[in-house]
Amino acid sequence: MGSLAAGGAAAIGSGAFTSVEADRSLSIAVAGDADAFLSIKRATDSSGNVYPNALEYVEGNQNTGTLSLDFTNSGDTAGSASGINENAKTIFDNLLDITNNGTQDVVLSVDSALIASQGGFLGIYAENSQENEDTDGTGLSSADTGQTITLSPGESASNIGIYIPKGHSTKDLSGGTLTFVAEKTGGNQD
Amino acid sequence: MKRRRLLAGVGALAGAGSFTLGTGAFTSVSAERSVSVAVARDYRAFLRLEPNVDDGINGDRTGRSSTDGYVVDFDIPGLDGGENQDAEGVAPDSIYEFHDLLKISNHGTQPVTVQSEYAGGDFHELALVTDTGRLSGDPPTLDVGESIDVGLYIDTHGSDTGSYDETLTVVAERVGGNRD
Repeated sequence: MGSLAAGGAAAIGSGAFTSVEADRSLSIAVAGDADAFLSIKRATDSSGNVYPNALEYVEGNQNTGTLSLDFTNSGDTAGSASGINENAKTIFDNLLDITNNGTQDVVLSVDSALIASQGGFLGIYAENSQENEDTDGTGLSSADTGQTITLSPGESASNIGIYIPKGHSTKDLSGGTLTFVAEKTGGNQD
Repeated sequence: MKRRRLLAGVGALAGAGSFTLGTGAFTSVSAERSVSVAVARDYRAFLRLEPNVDDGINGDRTGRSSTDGYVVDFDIPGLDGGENQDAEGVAPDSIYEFHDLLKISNHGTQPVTVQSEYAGGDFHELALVTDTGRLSGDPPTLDVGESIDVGLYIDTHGSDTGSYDETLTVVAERVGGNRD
């Protein structure tokens, strides 16, 4: 024991720390989509009322507070139509509002294999960035395509909608994922 | 005669035994030596950890990283007024990164690699992250006197909503490992 302690003192005396492990604590809150740093909510009008489309096609998970889009027409609204017309472009307006609840400007984009510009067929857009709504695959997409929208803290991409071009149906949407990406302006570099 | 020789033989054996002991092969010695180990605060340690003063809303601090004067810790959302008060946390099924929360500097005498380890808990993954990625697998090297700004990488896939207390281990290791 004695000689071990002396050895230890010598090692420390050289000042060469070989290895340090420091445990540090974190407290992290996980909120639902609506209250997160990147808030994702059902789209509302200027009076705060949820749009009918958002009620019909946006589903909420009670446990995780996460939203999903469901076009299978599970019948949330009485008397609603079943499915969409074949051979027609179908637009689902006013589904989601996405708000930057962070502290810095972020660039919002969407990654998804479903989106036309990323190999799929779907179009996604926000009301305040939809100049090219009529062109397939434009509106809101990955940072690579430049189809993004910049949001300051507190600012929203409002009334995000989806359209399905002629020749495709909502059946083709099964199992897909939309990944909303919000990245500090100028990317992750400082 | 025979009996005497036998006695002499025994004596020789005993002598050999005490000679062995004489080489210093002791079974037990108690010798106290003093070891002086200073436990410094994080910002004065060999591996120095300092919360970054970050600008939030209106240029105020977010308080996402802080220190009680001894050790640093992290709070998401931040505790100070510069945090966006509409944010109640990170969302499930997401990957969040909060950069530049902490400065790590090497005040030892040798280059070290720095990485983080998460033993598991309520998150899919927690790690320290820089602008070039997570501090794991191929960790960056800090030369003596060098520092890096690191942040938090939080993967909430599989996490439910709630408030969680987690531990992240910051590991600094001499370049080339622990072999001497």
